[in-house]
Parts: sequence; C-alpha cells; structure tokens
Amino acid sequence: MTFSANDGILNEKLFISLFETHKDSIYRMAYMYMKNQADSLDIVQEVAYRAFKNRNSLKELNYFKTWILKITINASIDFLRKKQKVVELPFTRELGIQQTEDKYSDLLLNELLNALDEDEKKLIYLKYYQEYTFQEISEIVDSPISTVKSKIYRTLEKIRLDYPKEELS
Amino acid sequence: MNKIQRELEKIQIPEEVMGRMFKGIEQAKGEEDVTPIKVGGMSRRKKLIGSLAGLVAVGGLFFGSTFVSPAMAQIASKIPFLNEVFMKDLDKDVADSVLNLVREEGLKRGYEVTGMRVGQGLMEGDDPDKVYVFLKSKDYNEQRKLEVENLTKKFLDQKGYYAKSIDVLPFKADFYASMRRINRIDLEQANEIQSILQVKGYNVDYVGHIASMRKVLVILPESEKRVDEVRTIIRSYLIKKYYEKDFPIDIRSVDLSNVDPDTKLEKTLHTIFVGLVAKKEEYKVNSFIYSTKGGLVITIETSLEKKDQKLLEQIRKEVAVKVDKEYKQPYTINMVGLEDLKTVGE
Repeated sequence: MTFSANDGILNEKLFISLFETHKDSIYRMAYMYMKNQADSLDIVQEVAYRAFKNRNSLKELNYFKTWILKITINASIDFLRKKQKVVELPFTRELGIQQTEDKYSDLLLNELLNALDEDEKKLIYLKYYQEYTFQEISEIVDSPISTVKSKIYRTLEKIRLDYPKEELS
Repeated sequence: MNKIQRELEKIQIPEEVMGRMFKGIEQAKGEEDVTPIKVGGMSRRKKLIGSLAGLVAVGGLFFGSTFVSPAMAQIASKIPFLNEVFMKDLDKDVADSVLNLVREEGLKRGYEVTGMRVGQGLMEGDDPDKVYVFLKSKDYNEQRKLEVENLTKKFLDQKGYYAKSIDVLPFKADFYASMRRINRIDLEQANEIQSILQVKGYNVDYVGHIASMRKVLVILPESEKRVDEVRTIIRSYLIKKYYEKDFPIDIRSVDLSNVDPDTKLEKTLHTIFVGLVAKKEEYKVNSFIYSTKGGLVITIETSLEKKDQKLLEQIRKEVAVKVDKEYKQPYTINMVGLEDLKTVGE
C-alpha cells in the first residue's frame, strides 16, 4: 500500500476499511433516493470517487460517517437532477420475496421511498435510521435545528407514524 | 430497533457494493495521476502508468496491484478477467478458481501470478484461443515461465478443461498501453446494440460504446417510453460480452429537437472516439479517455513520437474543433506520447 500527499489523515487502506464499515448505511441512503439497485450502486461508486478524491478534507476520523453520508446525500441529489428525464424501474421489483412478508410494513417502506420528498427522506433516514441527534442532523444538512425539528415532525405526520412527542422536543 | 430501521433494513445490500467502491477509488486515483501534459513539452511522467493500471483494473483485467488486502483480493476475485471466447468453453467460476489456484501455488513458490486472460480483442493479432498468464515482471524467468504454464495446464486439466495454447508473459508497464488500445470492436458492439434494439422495434437515436471508459451511452427520443426494457436488453447483451451485470449503461431520454448540453457533449465525445478509431493507422491512437467531472479533461495516448509533432497538433486541433461546438467552458486535452510510457519502470 502506498501513501500519497493527497491522503491527509485518511490513507487508502483506512479509507477502504471505513467505507466497508459504513457501506450498508451508504447504500441504504442512496437507495432511499434512487429506489433501484442499479442507480444506488452508481451512487456508491460516485460517493467513493468523490470521497477518495477529497479525502484530505476530512480532518477527524470520528467524522467519517457523517462526512460520507453528506457526500452520499449530495451525490444522490445531483444524480436525480441530472436524470430527471429518465424513467425509473418501479422499486418494488427489486425487493423480491420480502414484499409478501408483511403487508403493513411494505406499505410503510413504500411510503418512505415514494411518498416523501428528497428532503424528508434525508431527515427521516438520519434521525430514525442513523439515530443522529438534531444537532448532528443540523450540521449534516446545513439547516438550523428548529427547521430540522419541524420538518421531521411534519414528515412523521405525513407517514402517520406514532413516535412519542418527547423525541422531538 | 425502531419501525423505520426495520423497514430500511429490508433494503438488501448487493454484493457489488465494495466492487463499486473500488471502481470509484480507481476513478479518483486516475484523475490524481493524469495531470495535464503539454503537447510541446511531452514531459516524462512516472505517475502515468499508475493511472493506466487503475483504468485497466476497471476495464476488466485481474492483476497484482489489486491484491493488497484480503478484502480487496476477495473483490478482485470477482472482477471478470476472461473474455467471451474463453467463456464459451469455460465456466466463470472455474476460470476464477484456476487463476486462484495458480496464484496460490505461485506465492508458495515465491513468485506472483498477477492475471490471466484470453488474447482476443485487446491486442491486435492475438490468437483468440490462447490463454495468457501474467507473471510479475521482477519474478519472471524462463524456469518460472515453464512452471506457471504447467501449473495452469494442470489446474485446467483438473477442472476438465483444455487450453489449446498457454503463454506466460512478464507483466510489464507498457502492456497496459496495449491493453487499453482503442478498438473497432467497441464500434461494432455499439452498432450491434443499436441493431438489436431497432429490430425489436425500439426507437433509438444513438448508441455509443467505449469499453476502456466502461461506458455505453444510449440516447432515446422522449417518445420512446420503454426505457427499462431497453436497459434490460442492453444489460443482457453486455453480460454476454463482459460477463458483468453492472457494466454502466447511461440511457438518456431526450427531446431530440432540444437536446440538453450534457447529452450533446457526451455524444460529441463518443463521436470523437469513433473518429480516432477510424484514423487509427495514421494517428496511432492507443487510448482515449475523458472525464467531465469538475471540468472536461480529455486524455489521448498515442504511439507517435516527438518528431511527429505536427500530427500530434493536428489530432489535438481536430478534437478541439468538435469539442468547441458543444462545450463553452474551459477544458483540457492531454496528448500523451509513447515516450512518456517508456520512461516508466516497475
């Protein structure tokens, strides 16, 4: 393994290892936006490309996950903007056998993927999948905490999920 | 685990995820290494080969530098390295395991087998049925050449396969260049894809294919709504050709009377590639790569030498004229000569 001046605190070996640790989070975040495997994999590649190219911008390894998820969000949004005209495969084809296991949950997943807009997906993913605090989310998405909170609250109402109110306080 | 976590956990993680990460890294490394080289200067750059190696890895050859960690080796073992001629007779899993057996045995004996493939397609004049095995250049000698040949024969035989001829070659830097040579096959495949789609009744405006860029570009008129069907047909074609289910396909549905600038540029770049292939004998262009990320950069590698300065300039101008029509921002054309490659050792 060689080291390069572009490495910063993140050499190639470490990059690969950290990426592997967080690959599921990266892929699922991308899937929230793309709703199909092929495009989500394109995003994974793009994220690796962008992150590796700018690896010297990461100043602390503790922030790798938030850094890489931010790159994933940006790459996904860029991709969607670029591909607006392309018709996508319905996501349901790729979920396979799991679709039949729990009808209620499938409806929920369907809503998470289809009913929410890009902004809402991002916030729900970060809050309830990654379990970030509002403060952390606010840093990742570059929005004030109050905005993040109110958007998440509205989104939960939209998908009618009964989360305790105290979680939002 | 909360309800949303349970839901999102249902999104399965495909095996290719790490493979795609490696491709992303190679892409980034390629851009780090290939920096602008002036035609006049033809400066000698030692980094160039590193980037070429990266591109070759993406293009489908299995070689030593990918064996840097067990995790990476696992991914590398999934990279397709044999082309369809071999595939007709040899199952992909068998081919993978033969290479791994030869490689493991070689490592025990103190040398490194870095890859294997069949000659057809990439090196002109190659015997399409010949199996090439690559031995790390510093490990190469006549005795090992014979050993590796026999090992390959033996393991193929154990699996019930027979190779007509096997050649063991030192894996040298300039071999990358020959492998990445631009090829008529790309154009033939693009035409073939277009014909298949047209015969099946799909309305297709343009199909371009640059294997070394790992890119199939398809432009469909907006009226053609069966995009997913088109993608499936092309994917099935590419799986047969490359034995790879995620070969990138860039399908664009466009209003042909008002094509967006990005699509116009992609088409132009593909057209430039077609032009370079057509003049291959004269221009001696070995490879054509481009990146549109963060500004357009085109890199053209030729076998021309310093004395062919006029011709180099002519190629650059021809390319620039076409790009200027579609791209209004600053861009870079790197002309890389054979002399730059020759300077690089291993």
